[in-house]
Amino acid sequence: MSEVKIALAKGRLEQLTLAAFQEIGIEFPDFTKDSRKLIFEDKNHQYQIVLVKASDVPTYVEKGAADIGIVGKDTLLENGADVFEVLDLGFGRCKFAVAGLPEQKNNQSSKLTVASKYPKVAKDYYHKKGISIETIKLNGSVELAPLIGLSDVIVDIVETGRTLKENGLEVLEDISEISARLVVNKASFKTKTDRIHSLIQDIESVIEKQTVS
Amino acid sequence: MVNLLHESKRIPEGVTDLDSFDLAKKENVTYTLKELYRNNGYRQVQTPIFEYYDLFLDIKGTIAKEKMIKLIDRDGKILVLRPDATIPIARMVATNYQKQDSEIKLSYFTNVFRMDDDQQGLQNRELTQAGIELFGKPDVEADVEVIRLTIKSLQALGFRDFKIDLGQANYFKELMNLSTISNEQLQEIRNRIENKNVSELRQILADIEMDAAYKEAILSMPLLYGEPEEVIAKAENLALNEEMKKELDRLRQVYHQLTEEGFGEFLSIDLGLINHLNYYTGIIFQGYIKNFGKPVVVGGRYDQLTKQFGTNLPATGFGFYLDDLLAIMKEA
Repeated sequence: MSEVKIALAKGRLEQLTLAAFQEIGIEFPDFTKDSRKLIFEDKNHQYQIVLVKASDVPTYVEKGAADIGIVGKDTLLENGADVFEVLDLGFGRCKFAVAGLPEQKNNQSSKLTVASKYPKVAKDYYHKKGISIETIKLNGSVELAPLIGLSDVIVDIVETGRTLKENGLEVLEDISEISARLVVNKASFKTKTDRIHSLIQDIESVIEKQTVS
Repeated sequence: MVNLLHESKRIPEGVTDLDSFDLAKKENVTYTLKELYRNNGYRQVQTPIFEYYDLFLDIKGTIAKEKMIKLIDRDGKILVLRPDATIPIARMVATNYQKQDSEIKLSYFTNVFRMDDDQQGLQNRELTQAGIELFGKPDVEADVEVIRLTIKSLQALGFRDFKIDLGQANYFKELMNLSTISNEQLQEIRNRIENKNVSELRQILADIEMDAAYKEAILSMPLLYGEPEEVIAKAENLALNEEMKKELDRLRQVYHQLTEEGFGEFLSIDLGLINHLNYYTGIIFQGYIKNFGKPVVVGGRYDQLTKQFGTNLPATGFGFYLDDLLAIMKEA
């Protein structure tokens, strides 16, 4: 029988996901923090984890290179993918927010420039509000943009708000909540039904337990 | 040194050359399906490669405007390369076949053109589709015939491990007819149901004032999949009026008939399947082959479509993505 392939976003979701799998009795013994391996098998050769860049997870799953993916809602919103988004895993919680210098609140300039790693999220949010903006796509240290006059505000993920604070920025508006999601390839969902559905149910029961306690 | 080919001598993204080997394979597949459809009484037709943009624009629930490939006619009118096989055939039947007393069975093997803008760039822009359309028969027999022929097509091409996932577009439509939800909200709800996103669906519904039983029915939509008898029984309990029960009963009849004919193993049901082409009105379906990430065939009933051309012919049909079938065969 072929293994169920799981694409997992590298980074902060790794350990949390592994813990959830461990709780339902699926262990990946080779998986250690400093390993450079990208493919891991579980003890019973039923599941295979492939570690990929977060923004590539939706692609792997949509194209069927992986049956299941575990990735933040932020990536799904930005990249969009034709997949089933069956579970909110509840961990990896943070939010999308508009941030900027405090004085920006009262600034009603005619055209707003927004720097972000998530230009699509930024555009969607402002379009819904009926405001036209110009986005600047950055790949890191987004907080810099308003400080050196590259943009009026930024749209970014906010976890604790510490980075913002240290750079003299503050959250101006909340956009939406984010958490890790379990996504499934549509064809896998239909053709590998038994194994995928039971895996989903097992994980769901673990999450429910955690939210109750 | 790398020999750089001038841009004008390359081919554009999203289209491809077929060498004699691949083309022979494609012709083989085409031949097998042509035989099958002819033996079942379907006659092959062809529609023009370009038609007026307005034709596709005016029809509710068709291909997104930005996905059509446009040209300008001599008089300034906008033309598009055929973006879909079914709509032009419905137009052709509605305008050319005046005698509508009997059923009309047509097949097609044709290329469609779409700007499929994927996140990583362009996907195929020229796709070959093969399929049938059955006009003039509103009954369950026609739904059964079309699905049977879908299964037989896959079998004739040597596929064994596949699933035809059945849905009922009207079950959801009837459910939504009972509500006063705005169009924007409906779009949000559809979207979550289609992606089986229960947690976000719950959040959206929490903000909308509505009857509890009604809310429960919507919330259950993404979960109405799996073992057919169970799903239908569950859906029946949730049905809020006779119309919904009637639509469900139709699905049950189709499922029973196909199971009796020995096709049960290929079937599953998913009432959360609400295809984004809104011209579908009744039993709809998608076919998946194991280990291939996308549906290879899409079909269903579209009784309202010919009304938009001034006639009233019930219709159902399906279309295969031939290039995907060939890609799967190549891997095997």
